[in-house]
Amino acid sequence: MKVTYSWLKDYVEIKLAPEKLADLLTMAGLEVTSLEKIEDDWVFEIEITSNRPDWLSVIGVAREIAALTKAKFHHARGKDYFGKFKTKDLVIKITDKESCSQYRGTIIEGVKIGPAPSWMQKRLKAIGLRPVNNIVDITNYCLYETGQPLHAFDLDKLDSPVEVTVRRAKDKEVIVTLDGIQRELNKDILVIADNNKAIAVAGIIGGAGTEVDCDTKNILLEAAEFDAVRVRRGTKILGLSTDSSYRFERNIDPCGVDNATLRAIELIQDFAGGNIILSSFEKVKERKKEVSIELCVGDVERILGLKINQTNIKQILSALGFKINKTKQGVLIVVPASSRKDVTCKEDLIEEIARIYGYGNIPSTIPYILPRIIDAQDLRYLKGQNLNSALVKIVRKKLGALGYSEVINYSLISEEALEKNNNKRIDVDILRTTNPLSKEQEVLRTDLYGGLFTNVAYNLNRKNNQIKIFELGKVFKQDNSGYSESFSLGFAACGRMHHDWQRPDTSSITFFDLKGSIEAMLSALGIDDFKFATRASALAPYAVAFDILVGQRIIGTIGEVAGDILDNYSIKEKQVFLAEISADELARYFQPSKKFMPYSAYPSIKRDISLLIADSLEYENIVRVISSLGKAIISNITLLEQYTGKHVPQGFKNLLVSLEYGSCTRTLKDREVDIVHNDILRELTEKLEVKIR
Amino acid sequence: MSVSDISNIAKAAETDINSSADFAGLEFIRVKYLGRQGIVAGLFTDMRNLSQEERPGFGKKLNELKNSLTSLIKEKQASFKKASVIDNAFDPTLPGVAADTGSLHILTQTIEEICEIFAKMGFSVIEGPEVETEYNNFTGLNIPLEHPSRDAFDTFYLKGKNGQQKSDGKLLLRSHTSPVQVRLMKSVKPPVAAVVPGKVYRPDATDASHSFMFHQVEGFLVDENIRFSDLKGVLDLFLHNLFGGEVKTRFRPHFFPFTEPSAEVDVSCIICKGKGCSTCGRKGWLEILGSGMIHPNVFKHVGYDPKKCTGFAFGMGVERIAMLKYGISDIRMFFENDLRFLKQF
Repeated sequence: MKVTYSWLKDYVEIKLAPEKLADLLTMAGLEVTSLEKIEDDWVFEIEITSNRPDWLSVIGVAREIAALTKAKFHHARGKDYFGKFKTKDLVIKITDKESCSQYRGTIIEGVKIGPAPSWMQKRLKAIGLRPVNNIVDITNYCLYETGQPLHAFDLDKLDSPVEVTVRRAKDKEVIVTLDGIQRELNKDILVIADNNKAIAVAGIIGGAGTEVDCDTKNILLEAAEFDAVRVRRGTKILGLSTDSSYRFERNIDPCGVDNATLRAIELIQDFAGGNIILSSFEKVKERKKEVSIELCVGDVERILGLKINQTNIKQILSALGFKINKTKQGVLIVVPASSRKDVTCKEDLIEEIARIYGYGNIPSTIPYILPRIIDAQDLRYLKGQNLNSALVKIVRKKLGALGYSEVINYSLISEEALEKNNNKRIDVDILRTTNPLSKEQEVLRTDLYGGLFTNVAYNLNRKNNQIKIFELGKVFKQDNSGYSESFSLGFAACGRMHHDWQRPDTSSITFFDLKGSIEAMLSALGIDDFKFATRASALAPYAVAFDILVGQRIIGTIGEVAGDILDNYSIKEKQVFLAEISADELARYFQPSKKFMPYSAYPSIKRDISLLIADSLEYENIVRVISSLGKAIISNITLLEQYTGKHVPQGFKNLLVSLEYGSCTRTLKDREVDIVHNDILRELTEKLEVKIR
Repeated sequence: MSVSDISNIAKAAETDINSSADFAGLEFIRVKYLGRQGIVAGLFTDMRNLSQEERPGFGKKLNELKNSLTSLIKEKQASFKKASVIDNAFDPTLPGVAADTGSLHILTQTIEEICEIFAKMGFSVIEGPEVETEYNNFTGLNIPLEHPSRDAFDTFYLKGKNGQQKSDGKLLLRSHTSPVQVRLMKSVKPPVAAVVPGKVYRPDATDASHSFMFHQVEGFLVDENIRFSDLKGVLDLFLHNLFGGEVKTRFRPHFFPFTEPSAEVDVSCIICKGKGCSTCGRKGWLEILGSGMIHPNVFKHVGYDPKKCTGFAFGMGVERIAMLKYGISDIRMFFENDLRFLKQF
């Protein structure tokens, strides 16, 4: 909304320089976003919040300035012409009574179309309007001055006998609007019509067929109050917002209909001549009973934390045009101005008082906050929405320490991206948006994979060759019982291991690097009962995948990404490792209370064994034999090396495993270690058909 | 064997020690003289052959020899240690080796920083769902469905499965974190103080300053006697902790449907210190927070008695704060996840 300094001065005495005035307005809630000097005037561009349609007018802003500066606000109603005319001569029919509560039509004959006076043109240009002719300019001028939209029809272009109907459009009814566009209407849209056609889209835009032009002699001037929701729907359907609809959507001042008409008549007579033939007024319903609000003076302090005395309060409210009907001891009965439909409760009044008093004049205080820890796990309307915060902290800290960088990807993705991850069409289980602006906003992600692949591709393309990333975020699904959103933890790793000039050998990140990091994270969470098991079948987007289990329960998947998926993302790297773990499952097994595990003060004894094993034998079986036989005295089993190649037959591999024997209570004797160690070797050889080398 | 033998041995040992060139050589000499089978140990054994009278004097000298050799060797060892650093080939300006560490996303870090300040003041950190109902996102927060105030909250609606439309309205992606206010207040009785971080969604075309997904931190405090002055005090304290004690704050009237009175909170521009620059649009001030006293209609929706309790709420955009604090000029960088970006923080 733009206003000019001189225009405001028509209504209020301003002693402040424009810059100072801009600051004052900004600090009162009318944020001045720009101040520009145009010739000898200043243009203020003000951002008006949607609750204050009254500020969408020069008069509204002037009233505010008057209240803020305690200056006199002079707003005189124009000369009352209405009394002189019979009001029933022009027939006005309102058929949709919900959508139009009052309509005033005024016929002015014999106007002379020409340019508007230069001072008016100058002001209109300053606020960004293009002058057209005196009649059109006057309606625009009045709209900006009073906030009441007006429209002038060329009377002779209406079918006679002139009868104005306010009705809903018919389905597929067509009108060419003032902007020259032919628009198809429907039953949700309100129109103004003559005997057989729509002549304007009510509250939004006039029709081209009844436009005032240089040949116009007689006009019909319209001022009406249209329903905010009806006009808003019309703008949404037509995709068209105008100065007029912008005001109707926000609720206009019901008194504005007459006030603006009188102001326009006055200007038309002065600058276009003509005679007023008649003015007809049709009102549907009694205006709602005046709202009156009871305000306890004590409540002002209760809400603001600042005592403002009753005289001050009355002064502020009166300056804003509010009536104070009765004053009991400490209680005011306040009737807001007719332009202030936004004021409905005492809190609204308190805001007005605080605004004019100045937010800056309210002190800063520190409240007492009762110490209380809300258990986020136990909130009725937030069930399952809060991951244990200690868990989140440990996961993030541990993964950071393990060299993983956290990524955050969009939860909304394109359907195409979803397909890319699975290489097949998905038709169930996704939540779709109904109103995406672009492809990238079509569906909610069902897993974290797509984002991670995109990140891998992006970084490889930028020569970030060592990639270890993780994401902790929500994934979304729906099934017949409803939708679900759950926390997921995803990992991707590929490229070179860390290397530097002191250790220049480079090696690639392997499956076991990712596995080891996940194991370390699980241990940090106090989850020890985990294992990695082969899946019965591979699962997109993996080429090979393994279940991550805690006890018998699958909590996630780890594996190597399939080549065709890598191709989908143009990832050149041959091996990309991936994992996704349900964070909700992690929370289920999380052991926040850790116990100290004593370690031995006595020297331990190390024995290395070299094993030749068949490829079909899983290492886990070897560990199981060792730990069950050595339970009492084995403190550590470490795989030192895996070797295949020369001297190792096809289908076999050689493992070098180091066993550490120790006790917390004494130094072990060589002899007792020998006994256990030999048992282990025997058992491995006999039960697992392992060759000890 | 006599005391003079001892002094000869001492001289020989000294020469040996001084001429040793490195740790290994010195160790050889140490073993030669002081080892279990070394010369000194041999002399102690030989003491058996001396007379009772000779033994104490000889023993004393022998101990002196042992002590002096031990300290000479230590000194020599110490000199080797120094020498290794002053070695000509050693270049201390060669780069140190950095460990392979990861990093937390800067948005995570910013959210943690914000929440921690409030946690110190006694606020709990609570999260809520990203898929919401129209009721919680709008109606429960006093935002009428067909009102221009909703234009500020353009929202993604979701297609539910047939028959899945909830009684409390259509499904949507929350366009702000405020629905968690509704859920939390319905779950607990006042007093309640909480901050709510999380993702929010708005249909927006993506550019340097717009993203269809971003993060907010919401917060609110409700009790029997919470006033606008408390809102000012708490947010002042917060902003001074976040941006440093020298920033100025100002509270401007604004409109939010769920608060009354409402205030927009600005801090003096942290880039130009309030002088006016391109970041603050020459105004000297940066908009940081929306806030206000919780609207009585919101209390009614959640079953709180507006006659008994009052409270304030506030909300802020995490990306905006991170962009200002770290000088990041493009919001898309947060979601590109370039490791060169991620690892900087």
